Amino acid sequence: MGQFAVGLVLAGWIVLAVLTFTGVWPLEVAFSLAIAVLTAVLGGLAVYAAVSQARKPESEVLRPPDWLGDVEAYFRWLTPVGLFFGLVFGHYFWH
Amino acid sequence: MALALAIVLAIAVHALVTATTPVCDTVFPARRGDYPSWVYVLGVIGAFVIGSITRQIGVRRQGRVPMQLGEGPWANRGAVVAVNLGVAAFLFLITILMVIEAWTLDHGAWPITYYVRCSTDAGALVSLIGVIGYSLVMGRWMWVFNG
Repeated sequence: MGQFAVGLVLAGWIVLAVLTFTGVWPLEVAFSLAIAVLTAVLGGLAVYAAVSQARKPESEVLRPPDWLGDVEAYFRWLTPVGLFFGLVFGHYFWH
Repeated sequence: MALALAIVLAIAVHALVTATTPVCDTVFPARRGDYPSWVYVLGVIGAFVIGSITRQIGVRRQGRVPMQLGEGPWANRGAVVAVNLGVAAFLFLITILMVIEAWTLDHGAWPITYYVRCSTDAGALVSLIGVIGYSLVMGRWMWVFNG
């Protein structure tokens, strides 16, 4: 499921990139939609995880492989900071 | 903190409801309010960090051990499902906001940021207190260390 989600996000971003570079959308519209694609897929994964846990509490379907453990711990710390500071500085410099 | 944010929100709503003229430039809201931009940026960052630090201090004083979802009391099936659904709701909310942002940018309507600009132009102090309070809460809730 994780690999499928990654593929879905990448496919969505490729479509957005093509539409942007062919002049269908300006970059700022594509950027907003790129975030929308990412959060929609992640939201879908969260729903999938909730359903999986409800049906089978010990489900490990969404655990990353062991070799990604350190990366997971790093992103657990980094994600809130990245989200928050991205919001602050992105708006400060862009808008 | 929740009460303070509710009061700030009530003041802002009252000001908007009772206003007889536009509270800001309706074509292109000003980039700056009464305070320079760095006041907001540093205030928000400082509140985020302070929120995280005060959370850590509170956790250590109470002798609690932060646990991940699926560990200890968070191993309860209901808790796991509720947290996952909460995360999903938050992510779908962001998705909706981003779609709205994209639509407004593509159609020449006010993007979400313009409403923020308008609020800082109309009420700088209330906006500053609001964003600092929000950042404090986000720092306490989101930036939590396990180690």
